[in-house]
Amino acid sequence: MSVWQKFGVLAIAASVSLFAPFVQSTLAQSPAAPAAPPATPGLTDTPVAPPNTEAMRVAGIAKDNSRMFGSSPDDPGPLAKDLSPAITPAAVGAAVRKVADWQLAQSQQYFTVIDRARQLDGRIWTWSVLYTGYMAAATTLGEGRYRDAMEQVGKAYNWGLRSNLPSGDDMSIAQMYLELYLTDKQPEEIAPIQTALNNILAAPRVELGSSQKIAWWWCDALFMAPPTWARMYAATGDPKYISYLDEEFAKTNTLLYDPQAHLYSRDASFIDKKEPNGQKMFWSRGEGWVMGGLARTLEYLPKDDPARAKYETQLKEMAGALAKIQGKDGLWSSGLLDPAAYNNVPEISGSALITFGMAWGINNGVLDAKVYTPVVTRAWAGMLKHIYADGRLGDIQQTGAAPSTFKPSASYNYGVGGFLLAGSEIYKMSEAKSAKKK
Amino acid sequence: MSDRGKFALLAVAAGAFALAIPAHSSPAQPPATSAPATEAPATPARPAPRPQVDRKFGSVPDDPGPLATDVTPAMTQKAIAAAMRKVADWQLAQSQQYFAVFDRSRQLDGRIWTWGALYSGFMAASDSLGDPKYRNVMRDMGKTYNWELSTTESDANQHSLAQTYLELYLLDKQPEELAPTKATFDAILARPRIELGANRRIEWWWCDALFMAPPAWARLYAATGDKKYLTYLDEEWAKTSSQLYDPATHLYFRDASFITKTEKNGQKIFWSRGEGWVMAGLARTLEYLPKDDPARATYETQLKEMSAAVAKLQGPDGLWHSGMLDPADYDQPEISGSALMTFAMAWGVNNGLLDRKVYTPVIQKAWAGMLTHVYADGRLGDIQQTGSAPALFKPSSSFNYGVGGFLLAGSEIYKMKGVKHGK
Repeated sequence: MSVWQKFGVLAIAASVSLFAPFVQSTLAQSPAAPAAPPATPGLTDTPVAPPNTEAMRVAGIAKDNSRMFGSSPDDPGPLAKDLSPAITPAAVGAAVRKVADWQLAQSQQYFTVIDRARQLDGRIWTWSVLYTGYMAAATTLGEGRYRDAMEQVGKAYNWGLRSNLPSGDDMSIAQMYLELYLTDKQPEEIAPIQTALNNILAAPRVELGSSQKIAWWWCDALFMAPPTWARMYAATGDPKYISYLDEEFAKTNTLLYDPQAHLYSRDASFIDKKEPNGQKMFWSRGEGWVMGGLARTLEYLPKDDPARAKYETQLKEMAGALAKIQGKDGLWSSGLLDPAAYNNVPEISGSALITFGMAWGINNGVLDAKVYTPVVTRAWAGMLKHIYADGRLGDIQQTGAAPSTFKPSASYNYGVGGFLLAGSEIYKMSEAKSAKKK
Repeated sequence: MSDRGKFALLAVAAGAFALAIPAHSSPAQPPATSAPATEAPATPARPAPRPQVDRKFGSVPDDPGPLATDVTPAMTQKAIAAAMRKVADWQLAQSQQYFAVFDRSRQLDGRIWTWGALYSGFMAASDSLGDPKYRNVMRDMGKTYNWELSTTESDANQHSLAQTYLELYLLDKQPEELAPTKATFDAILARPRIELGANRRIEWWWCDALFMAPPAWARLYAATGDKKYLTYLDEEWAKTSSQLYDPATHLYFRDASFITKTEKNGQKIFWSRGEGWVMAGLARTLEYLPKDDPARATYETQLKEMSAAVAKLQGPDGLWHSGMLDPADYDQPEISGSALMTFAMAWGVNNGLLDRKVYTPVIQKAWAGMLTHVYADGRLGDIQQTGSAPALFKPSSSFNYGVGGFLLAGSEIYKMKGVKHGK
């Protein structure tokens, strides 16, 4: 029995015992509602590092699946045979569409659902990340279908958020709203997020060294929040949104950026944590969030922004650090510095976001194309090997806060979002390449 | 075979037809098409419309079980509270899972008017019974939706929810409970208005709207102290009143398309729930209207006139049939309309508007009548499905808005002078 087979058996056994009571307890109707869950149920790529026991890992997977973020079937069927790693518009476009269309068929019905008892909500961050991917794919591939799907989401929610004083996670959906606003210019598309960000600006701020957590105290937040603020600046031209962004990003940077490793700790609780091999713990998706967040912030940052050079430097430093530890398969393991502790399996959500950050850097002159094009090309080829015949993108780690293991079939919406972001940038590279040839 | 039994058989047979009945009174829907089942009284055996249950507004089982034997019409707080809790708790068990749901593809949304009317009843029940249980559920619901309405458009049906949000705001004073409603209503004030005689419909062109919207505007005034909300309320209500209020009968037509329609017996069509919406809307508006509001006297007069008119039409069982002026053509009493009218009369008595001696017997008789439609498990039956005109329905028919009306009525009766205190 292989390690994976063994793991599969364990997971099934555990999900049978854990999943059933979970569903029961969330669907049970006690007339006196249980203590209200916070507006943001604790599903952020988890606030406090979990003990990461096997039971918790399996319970987390069951919960992600029941919340329709994705699925991890025992038999995902055969891998795709119709994809080519060639960096041509046709080949890249085909892979992007294959995965995007599979995801749409799987989950579009959940984009516009709120169900408190079942803990469903199409506005939470896992979906928001997917939506950023659809927006990117719609633009680069000229696919009106993806954009229409996003317009429907915005309209269904009246362009609203989960909270009027949203956390980074809960404002991330507005990246899509704001991108639509930038082309549609419909006031209702921007009204709720502008109110929310203005509320944040009016509220007291937390400084470093205070007993409270800073706004973006976990590195994932750098994907969720700063690109939202940058887009609000683009939509309004008001520099107050950029000042806030720069000030808060600087705090997170001071707290979590490791100047030796050129990588971010997931949050302050990880700074001293070590992998089984004694290396520092750096998490593929955590670095992906920051790389993706840097690129998507720079995209809308004014050229003369005082912090611009710092973000560019950081993108370069991180890209350098990550390129060095790229696996032979072009990908990155969930625990970046101890792949063996995670079965030497690559993790696709982190790999995709890292690849997106690098490809954006190349396309926008921040990274040296000669150095990084081979890195990105290898990563793209590596990711395509995790696509199944039906379009499922596998090997995406479930929600969490730290490196973890997962089933090969594991596919989650945010990982697909990262893949679509990466594919869209690589599609642009392929267009530039084919234009050069002509 | 009893009439009721015959009817049940007919209804089962009719249920086999897949009639797609829209959830009435969406302004976009012309009333002519939203009342297909009631428009052809030619054949004696009219099919009851297939009730809409997939949107989870309620249910119409073939066998609802026995009627309750543990509710009494005694005018004591203990008995009234017991009946209210029985129905309210059954409703919670049936549908709480749908309060905080929005699902675009399944057409589920716990924010639309059918739920809004229920929530008003839950808020009133918590208030009168001094039990925060139902109110707490409402607060959870509001949090789930981040206090947003289901649309930012001007649509009275989507404004009934705002009444609950605003009542919670008046207690909690949490800005987020107020913000989306205020933004939506302010946007409405900023838009051009439609005057009578225009070729477009006025804002509240169907009488149901007077329950859904004006009480929300009155509560927004209470929350902000800004009289611009009352000015809007008074101006728009006046348009609806001049269009739909029948000075001869002192009843409201459901909408302008009904003014010339007649029942089988040749009488005008006045719909129990339609009159209930208006009377309850009057009471719930007056509740928050300042004493010196220029339109106050008009609303009070209308509530008095309508109360007198409907009291005269009260059935021997204390209730009203779906078609108020042709009860023979609609076998059973209809509970949602009966409950809303009863609520308004009880409010009128409690607030010195209606003569206590005249109306207390009417209200008591109505309450006693309603209790005979409560089943052993707490189901409140004989509630007409969504629609826009009098219609038939199965005895087991129970829908959320009717329960809302019942809880509003119970809450006012609980507070009436003469009701024996103590739990």
